[in-house]
Amino acid sequence: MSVVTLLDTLADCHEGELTLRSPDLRGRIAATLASLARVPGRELASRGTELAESAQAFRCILNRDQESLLDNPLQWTPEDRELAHWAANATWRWCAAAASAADASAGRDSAAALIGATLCMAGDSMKWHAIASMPCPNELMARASRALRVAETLGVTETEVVCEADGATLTRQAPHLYARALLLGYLTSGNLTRQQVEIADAWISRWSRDYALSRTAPASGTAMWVDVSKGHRLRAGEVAVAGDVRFLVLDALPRQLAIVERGFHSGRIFPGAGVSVKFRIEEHVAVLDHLHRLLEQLRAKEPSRRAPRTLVEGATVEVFAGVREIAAGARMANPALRHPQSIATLALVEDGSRLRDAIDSLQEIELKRRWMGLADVSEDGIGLHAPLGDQEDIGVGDLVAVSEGGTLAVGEVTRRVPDGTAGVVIGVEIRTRSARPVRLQRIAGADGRGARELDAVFIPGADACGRADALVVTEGNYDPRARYELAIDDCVFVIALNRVRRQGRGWLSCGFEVLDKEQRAA
Amino acid sequence: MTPSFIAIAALLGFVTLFFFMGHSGRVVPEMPAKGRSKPGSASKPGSKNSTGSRTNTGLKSPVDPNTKLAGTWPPKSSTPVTPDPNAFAPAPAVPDLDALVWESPVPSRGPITLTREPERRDEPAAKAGNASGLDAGARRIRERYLAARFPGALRSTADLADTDRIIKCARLLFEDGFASRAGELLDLVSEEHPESEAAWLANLEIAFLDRNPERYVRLAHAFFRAHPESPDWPEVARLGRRVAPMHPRFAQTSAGQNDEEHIGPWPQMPNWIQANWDLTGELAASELRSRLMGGVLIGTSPLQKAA
Repeated sequence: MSVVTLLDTLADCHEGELTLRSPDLRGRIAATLASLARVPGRELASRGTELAESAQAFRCILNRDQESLLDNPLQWTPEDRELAHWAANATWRWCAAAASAADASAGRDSAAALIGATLCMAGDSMKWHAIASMPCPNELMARASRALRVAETLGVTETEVVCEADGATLTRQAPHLYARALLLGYLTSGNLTRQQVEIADAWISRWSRDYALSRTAPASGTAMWVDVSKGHRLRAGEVAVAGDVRFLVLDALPRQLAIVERGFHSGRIFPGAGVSVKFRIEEHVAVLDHLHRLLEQLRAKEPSRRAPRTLVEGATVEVFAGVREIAAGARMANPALRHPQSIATLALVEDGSRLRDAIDSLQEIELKRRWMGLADVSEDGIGLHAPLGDQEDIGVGDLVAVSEGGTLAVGEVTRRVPDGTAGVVIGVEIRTRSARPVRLQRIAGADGRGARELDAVFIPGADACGRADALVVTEGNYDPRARYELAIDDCVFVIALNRVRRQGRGWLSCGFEVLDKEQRAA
Repeated sequence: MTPSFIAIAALLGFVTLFFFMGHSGRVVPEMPAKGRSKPGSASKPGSKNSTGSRTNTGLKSPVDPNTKLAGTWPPKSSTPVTPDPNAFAPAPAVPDLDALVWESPVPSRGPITLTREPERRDEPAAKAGNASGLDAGARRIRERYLAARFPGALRSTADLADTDRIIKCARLLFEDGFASRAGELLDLVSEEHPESEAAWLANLEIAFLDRNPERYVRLAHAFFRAHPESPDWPEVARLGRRVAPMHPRFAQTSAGQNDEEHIGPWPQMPNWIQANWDLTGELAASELRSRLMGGVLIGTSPLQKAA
C-alpha cells in the first residue's frame, strides 16, 4: 500500500534526521506521491487517518529544511532552486491526493482530517510556488474551494484539525485553513519576496482563527470575496459575479497588525517561533506596510481599481534600473543633461583630475544597456517581459525607468511573475512620466568632511506647489542631517532630505525642504 | 605487522618512558608570574621561574627568548627552585566584561518534536513598554525596528529624546498621508518619555486631524493619567468635544471657553504639531519645481499613445 510506504519513508526521515536536500530522499517521496495519484480516492479514504498524519509529518520535514533555503542572503544555487521547485510540485501533488481522498470520505471519521490536509497543502503549495517563482497550477485554488464545499456538505466545518505550522502545532477548522490558502494566494501574486512570503504565512497561520467566512457581505467593509464554485482567487471590491460567493471578513486584521507593532516596540518578533523570526526586520516591516496598504484599499470608499491595460506586441524599450543607471541613462539619452566630464573622460584621467569624476564618467560609458519587451501599458503602469534567465537582478522593490521619447517614466517594480515557462513579466507601477535626473552637492560638515556629489532623480508630485515632490537617492547616500546644494541654471537651492516617503531595494524616495536659495553670480 | 603499527607502538613506548621519568610534573601551572616568584628572582635568565611565563596564558610577557620551554629537560646549570609560599595565591579578579549575546539560538537539528503552541499567545504579549526594561536581545530588535520603520527619523531609542525633531517628523509623516505611522512614532516617544507633554499633545492633534475619535479618546485618557494637572487639558477637552461630542470625559470639563479664540495654520487648532508659519521654504520649493520642470512636455507620452 502506497500510504504505508509513504509513512515508512517519512518515519525514516524523522528518526534519521534526513534532509530533503538529498535527491535520493526526494526521489523516493516523489515516487510514492506519484503512486498515490494512481490510487482511487475511495481506497485512499480508507486509509484517510494515516494519509492525513503523513501529510502533517511531511510538512514538518519540509519546514525543517526551509530555513537553509530562505534564511540565505546569497543567490540561490541550482540545488536550492531544485529543492524549491520540488517542494512546490510535491505540495501540489499532496494537495491533489488528499483532495481526491477527501471527496470520497463521506461517512468516515477521517473526513475532517483529510479536508484539513487538503487545505493545508493548498496553502503550502501557494507559498512554495511563490518562493520558487513558479506559476501556480490552475487547479490548485479549485481543489481548495472544493474541499471547503465538501466540508460544508459533510458538516465538518467546525471540527478541529491538528496541523503543523513551522515549529508549532495549531488546531484549526476547515474555514480557517481555507482562509489561509485564500490570503496566501492573494498576497503571493508576485508582490512579496520569498522571505516576505514566509513571514506573511507565519502571521496568517496564527491569525486565521480570527477570520470568518460569511455568505453575506459584512457591514464593516473590511472583507474580500471569492466564488467557491470556481477556481478563482480572493478579490477585493464589489462582487462582480453571481456565483456561490463567500466573504472573508478581516475585521481582526488592524488589531493583529497593532499586536505585531507593539511586539516590536517590546523587542519581540511575532510570532516568536519558526524560520520567519530569523529574517531581517526590514522584511517584517515590508510585510507590515503591505498589509496596511491592503487595509487602506479595503476601507477606501472607492477602492482603487486596476486601470485597463492595453497589450503591446513587438515593442522593445530600454530599461534603466537603480538611481545611478537612471541618472546616467537619462544624461546619455539627452545630450543637454550629459555629465560635463563624460565627454573628456580620458583627458581627465591623463590630466590627473579628481579620480571620482573620472570614475563617474567611465561608469556612464560602461553603462549596462537593458532592453526588454513591452507586454502591456496602462495609465499608471507598464508590464515588461524578460526572457527566462535574463534580468535576474531586477526584483520587486527595484526602481526602474523607461525612456519615452525624451521623457523619463520612473516607477517601482511591484510584481515579478512567471510568464509560462518562457520568461517573466515584470510589473512596474509608474510614479511619474516626467522625472528629471539631478546632481546634488553635499555640503561639507563642520569638520570639513563629507562634501561630495551624488546622483538623484527628481520625482514631481501631483501637487503643483511642490509639497509632494521627492528626490530619490541611493540608500548609502542618504543622510537626514546633511545639507545639499542643487544648482539649476543660475540658482542654487540648499535643501535637506528630511523624511523618507518610500523605500525600495537600495533607494529612498525622500521628501525635502528648501532651506535657502542663492543666486549664483553670472 | 605493518610499519605504521610498529611506529605507533614505538611512540607509545616512548611516551610511557617519558612519563615515568617524571617530566610531566615539570609543566608549570598557569599562574601569573607575579604571584609565582620572589622579587628579583623572576628576571634571572635561565631560571626555572622564568619558564612559567611561556605557559598558555594567552598573554605576551617580556621574557628572555633563550629560556627553556616548560616540559623540556632542564639544563644542568639551572638553579633549584625555592618553594614560593605565594605561588598559589588567588589569581587577580576577572574583569567585569559584558556578556556575549548570540545572534540567534543555534538551530537544533534533532528529531522533530511537535510542541503545542498556546492559542492566542499573542494577546498577553501586546503590553508595550519602554526600552529600559528590555534585555539586550530585545533592545536590539526594538532598535532595528525603529530604524527600519522610521528611516531617517530614528536611528535608535536615544533619538526619541529629541522631542521637537520627532514632532516635526510626525507632522511630516502625517502631511504625507501616513497618519498611523505618525501616531506610532509619537506613541513611542510617550512610552519612552512619558514626562514629555509636547509629544502627547502632538499625538492628540494628529488623531484629531485624522478624524479618529477612538484613538483620540484613548490618547486623551492616557494623557490625563500622565499629566492630570496639565494646563492644556481644557484645549484637549475642547477638541475632544468636536471629535467625540458624546463622550463623558470631555463633557465633564467646563465648556465656558470660547472655541473660536484659537489661531494657527489650521483654523481653531492649537498647533501642537508645530507647523511652520513661515512659507518661504514652500515658495522656494515651488520655484525649484518650476525650474526643474521647465521645458518638460507634460502631455500624452508615446506609451500612453500606444495604449
